[in-house]
Formats: sequence, structure tokens, C-alpha cells
Amino acid sequence: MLRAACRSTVANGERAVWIDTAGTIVGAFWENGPYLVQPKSRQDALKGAEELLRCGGFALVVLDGTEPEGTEMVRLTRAVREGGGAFVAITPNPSLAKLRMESKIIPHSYRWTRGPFDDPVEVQEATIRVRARAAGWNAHADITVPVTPHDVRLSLEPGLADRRGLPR
Amino acid sequence: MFVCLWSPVWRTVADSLAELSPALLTVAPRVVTEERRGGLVWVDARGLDAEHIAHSALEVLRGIGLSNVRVGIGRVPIVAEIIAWGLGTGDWGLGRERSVGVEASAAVDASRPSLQSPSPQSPVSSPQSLGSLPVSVLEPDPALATLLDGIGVETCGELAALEGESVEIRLGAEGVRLWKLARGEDDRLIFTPMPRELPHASLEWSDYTLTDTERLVFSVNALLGTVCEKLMERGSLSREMTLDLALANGATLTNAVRSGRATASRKTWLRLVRTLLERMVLPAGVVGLTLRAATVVTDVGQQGDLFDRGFATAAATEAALASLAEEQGEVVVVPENTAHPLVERRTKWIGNRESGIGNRESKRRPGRKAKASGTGANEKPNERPILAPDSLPSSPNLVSDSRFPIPDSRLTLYLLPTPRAIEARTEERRDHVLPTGYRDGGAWYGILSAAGPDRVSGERWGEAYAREYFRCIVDDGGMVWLYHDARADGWYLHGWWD
Repeated sequence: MLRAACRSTVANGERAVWIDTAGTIVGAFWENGPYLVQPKSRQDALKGAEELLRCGGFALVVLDGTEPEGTEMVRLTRAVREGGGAFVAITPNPSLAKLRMESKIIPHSYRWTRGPFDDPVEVQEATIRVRARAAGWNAHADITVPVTPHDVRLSLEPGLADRRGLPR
Repeated sequence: MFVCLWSPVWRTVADSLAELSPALLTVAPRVVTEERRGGLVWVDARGLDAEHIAHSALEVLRGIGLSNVRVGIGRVPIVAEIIAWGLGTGDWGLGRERSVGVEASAAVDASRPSLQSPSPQSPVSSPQSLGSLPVSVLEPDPALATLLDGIGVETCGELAALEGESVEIRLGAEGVRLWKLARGEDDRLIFTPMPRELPHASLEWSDYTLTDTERLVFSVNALLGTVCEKLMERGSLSREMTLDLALANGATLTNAVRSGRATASRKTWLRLVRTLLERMVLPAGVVGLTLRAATVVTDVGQQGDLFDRGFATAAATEAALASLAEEQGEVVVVPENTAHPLVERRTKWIGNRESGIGNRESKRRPGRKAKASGTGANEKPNERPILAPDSLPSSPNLVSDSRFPIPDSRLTLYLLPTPRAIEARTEERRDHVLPTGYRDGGAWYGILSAAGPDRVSGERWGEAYAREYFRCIVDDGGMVWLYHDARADGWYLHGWWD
């Protein structure tokens, strides 16, 4: 959802940046448009986030892989006010957040493409339950989204599992 | 005016013609040596009193023991060259263009009346030919010389009188070059353009020495004002500056200050210089500072776009990204993808050199970008998410307002930086084992359903790998990517969809 928000921001002619501290973004599935920052440490991530927020050039800054704590969050909040953008921190401790959102995939909501032996081959879509909370407001929605295939391009038949190569 | 010096004894007197240059540079601003015709020395007298410079050059050369030097002065290099070579005057000493010009005009007048004839009062008017001088003074190619001899062209005047088109057709490019020289048209760049002086500023003091960083920064700030102003006047940006610190003990400390991005921002350079000075240990007090822009690039300005919301803040974004690059290195990255079967080896992250320009362009080309980022063929980039109809009426809807577009969201794979070893429970299938649960970080996760294996193996000669990948739905709802390493016989958690 956040990546979609980034893309949406960029599509509206503004800038978005994703700070990927843990290095979990897969290059093959990254769509150009938002800036991607890969800091080397937690401190670099926080300093970078503060600088990018304060400059006012980014409508959306997403901090992933680093959980700001205490005074760090206060500093970032001030930078957000100064820059006028939106800041999203992926953290279990959303203190000082004006809007808190949590999402969870509903376990039995996955829709599979089945193979010739009725075994699951490819996930088509899944439903996410998103809950948003703000002061005096609490809402949720279930959103069904498609799943990006991991796409190891070895199979002769795209979409079918490739079981060649490892004789047992 | 071009002044050309030639002597038959260059080589016996000096090991290299270049050794004469320092002496001649005392009388002329630029000196160039050439190996042709046994050695030519060119002195740049354009805009100066050529005759005075020529006399001075002769004096200088006499001073170092060279008396039989011939000097030619001409508005075009070929004339000066031929005079200096001795064909204009036949005497040692100073030769002027006038002697050749008069001969040339006479020859041309006889052969081709249509060519403009210089008057005796202004024998150097252009174009002019070299008149009755033999073509051999132009040093033609042997094959071309034979050809000219065959068609009966013996003098420069006769060659100059020919039609340019005829020369091009019959004698080719070399013939045209010779024809132009015969007409006194010489467009050789004897003296290359002078590079512009890079912006610099300096400050010296003698009453005291400075060791305090803050006071040094204060002085550098004044110098930066001058340098950055000059850069902006020229429409340039600097990528590197050099700071020379003149010390009280006579030594000079030279330091290079580099910026992540080329900039003419005084604030940015001041920050960089401050960082440098704060880290520096000075062996003695500073009595002088020189700051110069070492690497200068042209500022390619961005065309403003009124419809680009991001353009207004481009400068601020540029500054922020530059600051980030200076402090942390190339952390703003873009992926460069290959077709490697292993996802983690498929991507090379390279620095994003894009400045803080607006993003409208990326909006215009979604299809191309999706292809460049290596998304799979099965992916449908424009597919919209599907709202579960049952859920909408029962809950305050977050996205049902039609004024706001629904973002194109999808579950995408995220990878752990390095695959994490896990313990897995499996069950036997027809030709493989299927994970039914795994333990990660002390907790067991049940697997509701799993798809796979996708077998990937390769690198016989390098770091070999053989993996069986499974996409598993875990009982908490997440979808994880596990693999069984067939070589090490271990299970790993490689990533998840989010």
C-alpha cells in the first residue's frame, strides 16, 4: 500500500522517497519514480529522513527498517512540520503519529491458480484488512490486491513451477 | 600577426625546440614549436606589434648564441612560414609579408584576372596567393606533386588560379588543402584557444598567524563569496575546489574539497570546508589562503515546467540530496537488473545521478519504466486492486470516495539481506518434500498452503547453488518465501510478500 502511495505521489508530479534501511527492497520489483535511499546505518537513516523531510521537496517520506524512538521521533515530527510533507514510519510504536494504520493479510483470502494435479501454483490475489485510527476516528476496510509473481524465469511454462535440475 | 622563426641549426644547438620556448616567452605571450621543415617556432603576435616582437625574439635568440635565425611575419601562418623558411627574402634576418604579397599579386593578375588584386599600397590584402613560388614550398604529397607536374601546375599562382570545384574533383581533399594554401588561406590552429582561468581568490596577512578553525572558516567564507559569485556569473558549477594554506614556516598545505554534486552554492562549500578544517591538524600558523575551483562544469539549467508541482522545490531537493550524498555517499540508488536466476544476485544498485527535478517525466512513461525495472511478464502494471464488496458497507470505508483515485497496490516480494536459516517440518510428496511448518526466532509457524518447488541451480564453475523455492501461506496470514538448499541440505527463509 505504501509503495502504491509513493507511486501515486510521483504520478501527481510530486516527489516521494523510500528509506530502506534493512535493504529489503528487491531491485527487480522496484518501479522507478520514487527515490530510493539505502543508508548504511540506523543513524544515517534517521539523519537522512530528517534532512529530506526538512527540505520540503518531498511530499511523502517512508522510513522502513528503522524504528525511531523518543527524541528521535520528536525531531522527525518537527522536521515534518517544517517541511510540510507526509512522513510514514513503519514501526510498532507509533507515538506522535496523527494517523495510525495497521494492515494484515487475511489468511484464507488467498486465491490460487491450480496446476494439473490441483496443487497450488501461483497466488493471484489476497485480501488485506487495513485499519486506520486517528483522534476520535477508527475505521477499517478489506482490500483485495493482486500479488506480484516472484518470477524466476527458468520455467518453460511461465506460471508453472520449474522442477527440473535437482534429481532426487 | 603570426611570427615564424626558422633556422637551419635548431637541432645542433638545442636538444629540443621546446627548450627555446622559455627564452622566447619573455618577449611574447605564447610560443609554439613544430617539427616540420626542420623545426619551426611560432610566436603569437596577434593584436601586438609584430615587428617589435620579431626584433625582440631575434635579440633573445642572439643572446643564447643563435645568430642565423630567419623571421617571417604574416597575417596567415603559411605566409609567415614560407618567409621564415627563406623563400620570401632570401636573406637572414627579418622578412615581411610584403615581399611575397607583391610577387603573388603580380602572378595572380597574370593568370586569373577575376581574383581580387591587392594594391601595391596594401600588399597583404586577402585572399592572396603565393604567386610565382613553386608548388613544392607547400610540401605537397609526392603523389599529388606528380599529378600537379602532370597537369602543368608549377607555381602557387597557377594552382591558386584553378577553380575550387575542379581541384576538388581532380585532386581530392589533399589538393583542396594545397589549393587553399596557395591562395593564402590557412585555417590551421597554430595556437589553441586559451582556456579560461578558473575562478579563484586568495588572501594573505603578515601581522599575525591563524590557527583557530573558526577564524579560518571566517576567512574562507570571504573567499568563497568571490569564487561562488564568479562561478555563477559564468553559469558554471564546481565539483572540486582546492584550498591552499600558506603556513608561517614557509610550507603550503594543499587540500582538495569535493562535493557529491557539482554546485556553486556558497553554503554547501562552506560546510565542506568547515568539515575539512575541523579535521585538520595544522603544523604551523596560517598566513595566507588561496581557494580555487579545480573542476568546473557547465550548469545545464532545467527548463521550468509550470505543470510540474515538484519543480518549485527542485532546488531545495537538490540541496538535500547533495547533502545526503556528501555525508553518506551514494545512498540514493536505482536498481540495475540482470536476468540472473537468483533474485538477490539479479540487482546491482547504482547511484542515482538524477537531480531534484520534478517528476512529471516519470509519469509519462510508466510502461517503459516497468519494463526497465525487470518486472515479470505475468505482471499487469495497470491492474487495479479489487475491493471486497462484502466489507465495504459494513465498515467506514477508507477508499470508497470516488474523488480520490485508488492506488495501484499489490503484494510485492521483499528479501532479507541474507537468507536466514530456519528449521522446517516437511512431508513427502511425489518427487519432493513440502514444508508444513517452520521455526524462526523461537516461534513455530504453521504453513496453510505451499506452492513449489521452483528449482533453481547453476554456477558450475563459480559459487554453485541449487535451491528449491516454496511460496508458503503462514497461519498468521503472511506469505513467505522459503527455500531448501539442496547442496547444504538446509532450509532458509529468504523473503516475504507485503
